[in-house]
Amino acid sequence: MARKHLMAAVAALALAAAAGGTASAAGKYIVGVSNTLIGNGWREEMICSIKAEAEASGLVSKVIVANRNGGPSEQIADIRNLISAGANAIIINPSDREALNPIIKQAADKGIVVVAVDQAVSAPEAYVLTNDQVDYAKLGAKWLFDKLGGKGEVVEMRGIDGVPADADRHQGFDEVLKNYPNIHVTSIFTGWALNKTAQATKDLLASGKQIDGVWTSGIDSTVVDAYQTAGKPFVPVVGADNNGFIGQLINLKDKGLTGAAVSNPPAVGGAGLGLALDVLQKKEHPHVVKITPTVWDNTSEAGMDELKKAYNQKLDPFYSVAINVPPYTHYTMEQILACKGP
Amino acid sequence: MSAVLQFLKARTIVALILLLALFLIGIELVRPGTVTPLWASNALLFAAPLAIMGAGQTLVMLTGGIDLSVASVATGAAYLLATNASSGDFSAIALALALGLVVGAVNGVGVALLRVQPLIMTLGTGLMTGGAMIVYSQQMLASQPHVPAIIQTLGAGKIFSLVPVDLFLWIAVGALMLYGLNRTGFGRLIFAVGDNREACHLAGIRVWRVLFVDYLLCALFAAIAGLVLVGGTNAADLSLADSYLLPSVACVIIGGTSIFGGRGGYSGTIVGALILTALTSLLTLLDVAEPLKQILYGAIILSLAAAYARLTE
Repeated sequence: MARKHLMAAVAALALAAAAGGTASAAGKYIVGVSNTLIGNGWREEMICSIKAEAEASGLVSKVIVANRNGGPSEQIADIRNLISAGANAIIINPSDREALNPIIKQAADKGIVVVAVDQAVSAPEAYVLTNDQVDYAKLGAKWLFDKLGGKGEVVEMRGIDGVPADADRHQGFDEVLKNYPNIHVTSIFTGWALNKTAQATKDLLASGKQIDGVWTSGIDSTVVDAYQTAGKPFVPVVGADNNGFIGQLINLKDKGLTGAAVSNPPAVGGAGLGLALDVLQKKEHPHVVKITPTVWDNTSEAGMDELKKAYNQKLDPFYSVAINVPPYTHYTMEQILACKGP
Repeated sequence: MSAVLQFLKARTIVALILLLALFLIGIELVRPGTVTPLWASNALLFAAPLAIMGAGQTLVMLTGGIDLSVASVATGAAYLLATNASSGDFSAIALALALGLVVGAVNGVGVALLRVQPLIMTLGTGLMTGGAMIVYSQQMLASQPHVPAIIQTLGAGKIFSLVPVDLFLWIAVGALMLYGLNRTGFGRLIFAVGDNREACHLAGIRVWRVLFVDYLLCALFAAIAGLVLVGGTNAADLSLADSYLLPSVACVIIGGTSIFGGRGGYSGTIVGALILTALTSLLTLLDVAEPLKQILYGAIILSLAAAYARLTE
């Protein structure tokens, strides 16, 4: 009798275990994230969009974020740790186009879906989902050079020397520049850092150098601020779709600020996860997905409408207003601002 | 020649000022017509936060220590200010300065009482502060961050569009430092502890108290520098003051304070901060590739430190 009870108990336990097993197999994935630039508003929003998408999808049991300042060697170590932690999908914002390829191949060999977002990697195993960075620069540069009537002195405020996004943008910038022989360019690296940009802009303004327009790789409102505090008349400025810059384009138009914001959504992070989850569920996707940026200028009525629609007074000046990348993301504004993953 | 060298050895500050003049000439050569009152006013504006951070660094380096948490404290103070500004300017500023006091107190306890090596202690607290700020930032995405008008005026404002407002804060800090180090008992204790800690201990000085206050002041200066910085950028991110860490040490060393403690002072740090700011400006205006700029920056700081060591030997 006792023996029978025991058998029944064991059977029940086994059944429960099996049931539990199938529940987790029904799609509780572990997601790893590797990011190597911390303290940058855009990157924070990117990570939040991954957490929000994980939450909204209901398919993810855990998001592990490896987040620190570093280069390829740190990132390789981080990805190795994420593989060991049992990640089913790894979303990376790559610090180098080539250097991560071996570790990406290792991950892919284990059946892990690797998605590079924001910047490209050349590994054929990886999925790459980025804003089209070449186009990002082309669209903004073309707007600026046309605005200047095809001639003048332009400052190109680049990002970090050597990272893929900066190289792609510079390539796009140069391609457009070839068609404008009377535009002269001075390049400066800002490292996407606020104080470096502020100091460099003020140095340029004080140097008496002729500046007719400024193209920025994203640290945009700082440039406008520097013009304001220096009491210099504004020149056309091209920036990204950062909330603070968009506010300036709307509010300082009366004071003579003209400019254009080119979209560069940090939600590529969440979109990368959306794509990874699709792939894990055996849906087909191309390996390279490029999102075409859009330009909103404050000199056209349509552009101004878009700017006003996008501006969000409650958001940090360096958070992008583009919080979704359809059809890959599914979360709400509240979910991305909550920045909580499962 | 040897008379000149003798004179410079006796008054190293003169040598530093000559060096600064050399940089200004360099800038004029690179782009003639740059060194104007407006350029000078910008240089003072940007040198001030570095020099205020350098004030704290001078204090701890005079005791033979170092504080590697200053950049994290400055960034943290700036970020706390921006994210709490909607609940009132005063409380946001108080919170920012409180961060400095808390980290400073932890550094002080670690170095003074637990005898942890200052390099390791402050490296650790710096990393902890930075990490805590990342966790905090992800709770604060929707906090309507902004920089209060008074801090913007402090960090970017200019009187008659020429005299930077932060210069007055810098002058106040400078006066306090020069008076405090040269004319007060506490100042002398800092030199004494840096010169010979054991002798101080035997003489009955409570060395731990000196060190504790020293590290507390250093972190407080770093928090103040963070407020000036965020006023200048009008937005805070979590890498705001990163690039100030090594310059905050370099301006003290260029200014002639010994890393072994006991020798130096704040007047050298003032000129050191001006030299580094002029150097940054020179490199911005120099039309060369970015890697070359980095090489030049490193090489010039190295040769300055080497030249100074020879001069003061």
